[in-house]
Amino acid sequence: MNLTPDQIIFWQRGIIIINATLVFTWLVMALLVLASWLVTRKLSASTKISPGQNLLEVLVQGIGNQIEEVSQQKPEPYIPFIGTLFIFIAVSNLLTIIPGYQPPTGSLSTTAALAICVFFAIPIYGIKKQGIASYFKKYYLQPTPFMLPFNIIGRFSNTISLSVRLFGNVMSGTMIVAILLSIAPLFFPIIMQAMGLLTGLIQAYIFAILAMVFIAAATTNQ
Amino acid sequence: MLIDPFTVIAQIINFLVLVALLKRFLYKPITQAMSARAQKIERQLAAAAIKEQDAEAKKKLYLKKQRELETQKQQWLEKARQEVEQEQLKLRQEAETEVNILQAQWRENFASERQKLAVETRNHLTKQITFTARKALVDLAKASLEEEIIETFIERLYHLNPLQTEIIYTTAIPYPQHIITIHSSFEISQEKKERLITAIREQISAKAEVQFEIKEDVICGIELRDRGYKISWNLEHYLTELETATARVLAENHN
Repeated sequence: MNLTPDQIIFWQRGIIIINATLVFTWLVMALLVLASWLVTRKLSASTKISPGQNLLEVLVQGIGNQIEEVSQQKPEPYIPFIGTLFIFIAVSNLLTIIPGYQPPTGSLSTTAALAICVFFAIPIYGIKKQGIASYFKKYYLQPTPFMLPFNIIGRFSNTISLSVRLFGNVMSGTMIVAILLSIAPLFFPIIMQAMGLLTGLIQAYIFAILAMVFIAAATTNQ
Repeated sequence: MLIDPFTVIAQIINFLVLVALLKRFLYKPITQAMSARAQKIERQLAAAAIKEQDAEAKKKLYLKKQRELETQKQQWLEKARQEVEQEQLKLRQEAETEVNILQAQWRENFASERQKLAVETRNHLTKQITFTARKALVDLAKASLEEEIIETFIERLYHLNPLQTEIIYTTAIPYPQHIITIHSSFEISQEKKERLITAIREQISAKAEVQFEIKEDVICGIELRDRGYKISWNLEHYLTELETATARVLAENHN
């Protein structure tokens, strides 16, 4: 049994490895971009809209509302980053319903990559909003400059906790289904699969919201 | 090892590419469409607000016009009512005038008819009384009415009242001819004429010339006219009294 899709390798030359994580990530990316393109190529500004447009509008609007609620700021600058985090993780998790599919979020490399993106997004948004001096003074030299090491550890621990939480949940869900299939193959795997869908969606929400909380903390003056 | 560095780097790139692609194909078009719709709705709301204001203004205008029309209608109705009242009054006055004229005409006609009737009655009564008196006289004294009238008249000549006597003796006798005319309603016999002439010459003037004329308006009688005085006997006095009594009875019956 593979603990992570990283271990399923399709092609390798030197350090370049094309594993299941990358392949399924591209699959999810292609699916999202294609669906978005199909819907948004014929958008309507009138009050009569297609169901696909309606779905995407509800999704984008919902993400925007959540961001605004958490950050108390205008959501437009954060929608692409936070929205993509949520949509990518959610779709990656939801597709586990398809047999043979390996969720990229079940790979610690993927969750670490996403956490690293959040780790760099926080100072980028913070500096963009407050300026570099103000940002570093507020988040690394508070309450006293002596706390700098602890602040740095705090920022890293945020990133690690984000990545490990998501990886652990998704991986465990997949593992539980796999174990149950071998123990009680008739009924329990279905329940756990359904639970896995719910857990996956909740994890996507938690990841995106926590990322937004960290970014909001870096962009507000309080 | 659970973390593969190449996969991590590749996934970071993948994620950033996905962010860029979704920004291009999802967020941007969707937010633009939503923004466009919001603007469109805002424009529509603004247009609706303008139209509402316009409608409100028109409503006020039409309400004002309606009130004006109502006022005008009331004025017209009041004017029409006054005109009708005036016309009614005018027609009533005309009708009253017409009725008064007709009433006056009727009264006039009635008076005329009454007058005519009175005259006819008088003539008829004269004839009837004359006839009756004549017959009574003939039956009682074998005398004719005319003769009795002349005798009564002669008797009256011999018994003139003081006023008549004063006029006769104080008024100058016409010169060269003193003509005294006797009017009667009937023919006087020659004998009675001579007796009358004798009585006149004895009582009034010895040189008087007496002329006899028959006049219809001397009602069953005889009269003498001379120098502004008159000596007569006829039925007119009786008839006038009778006529007055008859008219009074007619008037009482009419009322």
